[in-house]
Amino acid sequence: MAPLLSVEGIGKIYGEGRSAYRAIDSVTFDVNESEIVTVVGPSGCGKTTLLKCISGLLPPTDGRSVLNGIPVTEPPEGLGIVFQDYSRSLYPWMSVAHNVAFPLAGKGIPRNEINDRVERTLAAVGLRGQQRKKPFQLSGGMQQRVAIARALAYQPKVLLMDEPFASVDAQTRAELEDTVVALRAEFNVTVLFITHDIDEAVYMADRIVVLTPPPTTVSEIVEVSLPFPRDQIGTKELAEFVKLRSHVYRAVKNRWDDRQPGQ
Amino acid sequence: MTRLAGRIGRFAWEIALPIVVLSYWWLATADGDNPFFPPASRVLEAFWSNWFDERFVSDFLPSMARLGASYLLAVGIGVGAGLLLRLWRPLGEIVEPLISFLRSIPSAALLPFAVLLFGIGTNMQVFLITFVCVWPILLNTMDGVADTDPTMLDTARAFRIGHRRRLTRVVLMAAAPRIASGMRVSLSVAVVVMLISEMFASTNGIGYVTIQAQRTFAFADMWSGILMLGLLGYLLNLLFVRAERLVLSWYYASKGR
Repeated sequence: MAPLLSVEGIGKIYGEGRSAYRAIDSVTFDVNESEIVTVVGPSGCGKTTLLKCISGLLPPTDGRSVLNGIPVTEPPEGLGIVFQDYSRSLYPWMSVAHNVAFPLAGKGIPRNEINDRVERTLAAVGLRGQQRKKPFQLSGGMQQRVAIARALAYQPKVLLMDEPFASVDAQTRAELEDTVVALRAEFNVTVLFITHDIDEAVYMADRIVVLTPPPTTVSEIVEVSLPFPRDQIGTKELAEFVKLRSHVYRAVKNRWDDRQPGQ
Repeated sequence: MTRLAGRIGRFAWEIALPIVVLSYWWLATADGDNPFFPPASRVLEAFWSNWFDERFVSDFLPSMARLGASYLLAVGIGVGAGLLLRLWRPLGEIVEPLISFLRSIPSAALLPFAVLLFGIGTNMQVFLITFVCVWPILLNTMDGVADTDPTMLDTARAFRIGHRRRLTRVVLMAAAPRIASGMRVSLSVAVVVMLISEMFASTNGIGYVTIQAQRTFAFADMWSGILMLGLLGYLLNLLFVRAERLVLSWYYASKGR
């Protein structure tokens, strides 16, 4: 079966001539339907740049991404994005429900269908009864839930998440991780999840793409055979989890040490 | 508790201060021996008979109509042109030096030209008020649009929001607080320019009545005009701030104010 999303040799150079900076050398991997693929790498390895190139928000210098057989040039239909900075990605002048409905309006979707989707996705992320609030009246974790509901209501084939839980506290983070894993089953959505947190990358994934420091390439792709449903305590106690975690940790750390002078 | 006490105190002062000032004015002018400062009672009488009788229709309303029409025009042109100049960058860069020149011309300096162009009358006044009021709105709109958060724009692009909705629901809304502060500046400027244009080139209006009264030594009438202009400026600003709070409640709430 052909992969749902192919990342084919994406590279990105910022600037020109002598001041040119090669942020991403060449990144290639596939995401199959219904998979959760996590992308992990050391800080500053161009993860956000990679996501923008994959989604069509930023033109890559080399390579391309292909969604459902169609090369991506602009953000395509069937792609929902959850940004890291929820406070700037949600619109403060719109209510929670309006934020979720906004991408659906003006696209020929009937009014009651929009209302249904808004209600269903907000309920799925645990925000029943918060429809009329404004985003800034909610906690950070809840705001990110709104952003997730917005992306799900858009009914994407692939959900792209850019370090979505980087700015919430550890406990909220664990809850949100479980929410996303559960939503994959409920909405049958494919997830590409970018993170710098190795535990998170292992815990959520079917497969892990490990990146090198810049100029970024794929260091290795790790298959994860941990059973579902996953559990914050049970899963993390499994020998397999510990082994994978250490493996990915070494892969990230060694590569990083190689690039540091004097070590 | 102390916050409440502070608020009550401030409120009491807001009431008390005008009373103190008015009482002083009343007492100081009561004997009426200075012709430039007629007794307060006569000024208030003149205020009433001037602005709530036939002059309400012949002078007050024309002033307000000019002010309102020019202000709305200025808002429309300022916001529209500001958007255009930011969304179409090359044009913005070409026009920018011209804008900084035009906006620095003092409004009074334009009066002779405006009279030449339109003659004495409402057209000239609307032109002058609009011309001067456009700049704060235009420049604030340009800044507001330029400062739109890139993540907000990326979000709109990612969800394939159409150009028109992106403009009206995202860019304009994000720029709204800046546009509003430009509009507030323009409102007080509008009153000043209205006054100047009516004083020096008009046949009716609050400014015209005031300057005519001064020229005919009707000092009570003159003071009634000054009082009206002061009140007008104050009330318009108050009204604007209230409306702004209402329309941009999300902005003030999200900033915790």
